[in-house]
Amino acid sequence: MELNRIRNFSIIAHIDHGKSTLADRMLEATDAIDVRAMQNQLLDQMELEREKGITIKAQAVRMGHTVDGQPYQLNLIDTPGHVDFSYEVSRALAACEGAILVVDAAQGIQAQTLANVYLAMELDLTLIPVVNKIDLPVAEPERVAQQLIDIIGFDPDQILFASAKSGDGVNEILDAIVEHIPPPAGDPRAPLRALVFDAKYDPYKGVLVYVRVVDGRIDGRRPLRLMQQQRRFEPLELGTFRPQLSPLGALETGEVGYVATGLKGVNESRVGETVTVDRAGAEEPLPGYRPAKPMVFAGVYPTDAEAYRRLREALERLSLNDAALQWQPESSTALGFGFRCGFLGLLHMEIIQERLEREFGLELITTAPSVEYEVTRTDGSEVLVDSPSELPPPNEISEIREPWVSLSVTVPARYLGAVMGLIEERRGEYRKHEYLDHAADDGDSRVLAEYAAPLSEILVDFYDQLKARTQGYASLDYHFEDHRPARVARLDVLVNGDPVDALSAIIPREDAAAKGRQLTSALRELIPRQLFDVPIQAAIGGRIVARETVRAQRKNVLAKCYGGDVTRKRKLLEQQKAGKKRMKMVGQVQVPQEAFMAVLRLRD
Amino acid sequence: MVVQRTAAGWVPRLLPPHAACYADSVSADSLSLYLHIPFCTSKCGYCDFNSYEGLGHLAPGYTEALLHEVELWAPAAREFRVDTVFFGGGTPSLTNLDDMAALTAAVREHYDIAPNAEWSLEANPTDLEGEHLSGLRALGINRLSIGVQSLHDDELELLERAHSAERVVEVVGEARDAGFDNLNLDLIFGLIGQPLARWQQTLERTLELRPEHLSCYALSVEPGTALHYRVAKGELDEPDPDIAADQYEWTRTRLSEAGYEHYELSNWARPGQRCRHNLTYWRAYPYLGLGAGAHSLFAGQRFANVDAPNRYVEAIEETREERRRTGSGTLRQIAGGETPDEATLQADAMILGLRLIDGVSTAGFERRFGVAPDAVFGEAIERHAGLGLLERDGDRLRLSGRGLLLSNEVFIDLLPDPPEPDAAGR
Repeated sequence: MELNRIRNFSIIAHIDHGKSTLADRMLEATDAIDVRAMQNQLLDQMELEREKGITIKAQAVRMGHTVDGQPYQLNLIDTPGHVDFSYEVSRALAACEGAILVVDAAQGIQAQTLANVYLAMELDLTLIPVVNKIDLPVAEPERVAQQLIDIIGFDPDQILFASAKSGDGVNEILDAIVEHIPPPAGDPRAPLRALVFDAKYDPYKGVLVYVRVVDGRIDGRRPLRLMQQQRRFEPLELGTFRPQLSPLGALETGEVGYVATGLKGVNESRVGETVTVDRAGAEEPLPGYRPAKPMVFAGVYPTDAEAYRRLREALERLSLNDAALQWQPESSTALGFGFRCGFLGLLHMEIIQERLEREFGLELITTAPSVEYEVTRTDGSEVLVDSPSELPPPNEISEIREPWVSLSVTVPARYLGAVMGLIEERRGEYRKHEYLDHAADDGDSRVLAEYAAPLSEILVDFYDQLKARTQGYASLDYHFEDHRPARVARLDVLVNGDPVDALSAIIPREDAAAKGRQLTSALRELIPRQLFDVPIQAAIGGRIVARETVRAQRKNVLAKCYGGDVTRKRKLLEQQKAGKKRMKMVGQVQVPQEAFMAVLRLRD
Repeated sequence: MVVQRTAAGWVPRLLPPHAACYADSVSADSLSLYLHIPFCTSKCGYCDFNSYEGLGHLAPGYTEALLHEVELWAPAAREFRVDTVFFGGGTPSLTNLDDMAALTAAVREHYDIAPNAEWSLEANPTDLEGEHLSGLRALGINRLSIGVQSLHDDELELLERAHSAERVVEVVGEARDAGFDNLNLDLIFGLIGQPLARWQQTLERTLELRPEHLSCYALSVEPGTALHYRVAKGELDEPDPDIAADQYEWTRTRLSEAGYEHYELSNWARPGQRCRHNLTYWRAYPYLGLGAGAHSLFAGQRFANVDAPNRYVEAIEETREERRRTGSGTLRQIAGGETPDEATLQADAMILGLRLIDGVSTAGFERRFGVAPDAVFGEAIERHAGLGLLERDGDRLRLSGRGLLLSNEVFIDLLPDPPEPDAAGR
């Protein structure tokens, strides 16, 4: 298709503001797919994504739309919908010339939306603002439109109003895409440069890279090369998304599609890569590539030591589709053999954990998540520490630095104090705030507040607390900023006299003793009574700072005989046995999975 | 599952090569009969048995069906001598004397009853009056098991029992007057908020009634009961397991002083007055359970009847109908069952046998299964002996005093391993 008949766009929206529904309506309204075959929210394909109502993998679809008798090719590139995936979002946006900004008519602009708007602006994308869900009884479309005008600077007549649910306004949006979003501006005669905005593993075709052709064309005959990784490959198939894979002979400048690479793992084709032809290819890759950088680390262990191999296979399988997941073998005296895994963020971690358990039937123990500390030793050497057990002894440490993030929170003004309180509890600092509703100055008007805080402090139930203290109104976005000196120490836990490495945590030195007391008392609640007394101690640098005892249990008996119902009696015992099997034997003590996350409960 | 056998064509495989496992009065070719009466005037809050309030109108048809089932099984049981007959519930004492007369007569007519057979009936203190009591005695019922539970009225109220402590004292006197010389009193300890002293009062006052047999059960809050609901809602606390343990330990000492033999986890008896019927269960001797939801161990199989009384009545009718037409057919009242494999039988033998205070004879186990308990359960036995929950006494393996209250911890390790998950891990 000619360049001026192509429009590449994305949809920016907060969770639940109606992105997927709008995408569905657009597909229905164009000739993209057979309506009867349509499932709700086609673009969200993973089961987990549906459940969590978010998009994890980017998806794409090509649609046809006609304006004034002229056919146009519209390529929708759906972005992942969570802060953990902001780099992936930036690459998906970089593959577009424009974006539809969808804002819920009842909820207004949220922190994360705004973050993506700024991202889109940096990339020079044309934005089409849409106030969605105007049919809701609590909708305030005028007020939300005013926010868009005041904060982002749209003209009133640029703003569209729609209800993706009913389909109202969808055609106007399609027309606006053609009218306002510029066509791609690549050079058809230049050597091929295509931006990889996602990658997916296919058991038959190897890694499929999802690409936007920026310059030149892909014809499927010449060998190609991933520029950053220096990987050469023969394209096995190429095509576009309708939304299922639909093979084509070539992808032209400006078009969006996929290339089957035959490569074995997505690690070899990271998002942000540039694809060119192997011989006489482009000189310079496209800008913006960044290697995956995990921010959150945790030990993942099988409850049953014999499942280690299955866990490894499962991680390998997940890695095929998730270049951001990193893992390497690790062993723990308490938990045996497992893996140290690196994740983009807590949500990413949660998703991986759930997929391992659900799709691979594994029972896992995950240790409390940790950030990566930079440690300067007294001898001047530097080490990166992402696990408490790797922290050098205190006398060998000259300085520890921990990652800090910038936080943006949008919240009605009346909760600003509550948010400030929470940030202060988490060692954070205030930077600035601005009102999003310029006209209003009551407690309901929205504020965008900016803070900085140690990442370790927001890993643990920060988001839940933020929601709780603002009655669910706050939304959050964060970005890694830098490493700053930290006064932290390792808190060790002894169960029945034996140190349990998997229960150690790196915590701020100031309240270490208090944390030790909280941790032992949390563990006393979590560890069930055993056949003997079990002391639980917390220690810092060998000094015991807290002690609790789980008293020996005295009674576990089926009293009654149930008129000879032996089968039932056996079933009750089997249930108890299964419950015990889910626990980990640490020495002679049965410790449930939750205990290894106990450090997460330290705040009240 | 339906047991696809005709009662008439059944030649029961005699279970007990293991008979020699236990030396007692119950013999290899003996059989116990259980008859279930599922009706109650009101359902107690803690009760999760197969019992129903408000279904009394089904009783006449139900008795009919039960009479038929007594008859249905007779051919299969003809090689056996019936040593014990037990009317359990529900509330068997609600059954009127005419129906009881019909049921006892049918059992006598169709089965070979031992002359010294034990005939037990479970009873509520409120249902029994002088005439009813002497009537039951005249029908040959020679053992009453009375649901006392507590001798504190406030506790009886918590348990939603309909009787008073005073009524218990009366009814024991009346039962004696009617000629009953073998009484069991059921008690519950470990009640919610019950201190040791309150339980001690109940037990002391019970001892004054000089029962031949005592069953003392720790209260357990079973899923699906009204009590469970009240606890889950936070209206009531969970029972305190440590207080229950104190109460149990005190009970063992006190009853031993009072001349009772502790012979099963929850059961005590005067010498020679152990409940022969319940021993059948612990020893895995054959028993036939008749009536709604009743359980059987017969011909190497464990099976149970359908629970709902109306469905049971229909199913018995269907069984008879088919039998009238074809002369054989399916026993439609049976809801499900299993044929335990060797590993399960071994585990059952240990788990049931260890509930008895005398424990399990290792030689007897080996005679029955051709393998010693240590060869099958060696690791678990060692571990729990090490923890002080199991004891060896010559040939016998038994729970220690502490092990009695922690018996599930031992039993769990005696269960056979479940099948391995397949390669996909599902």
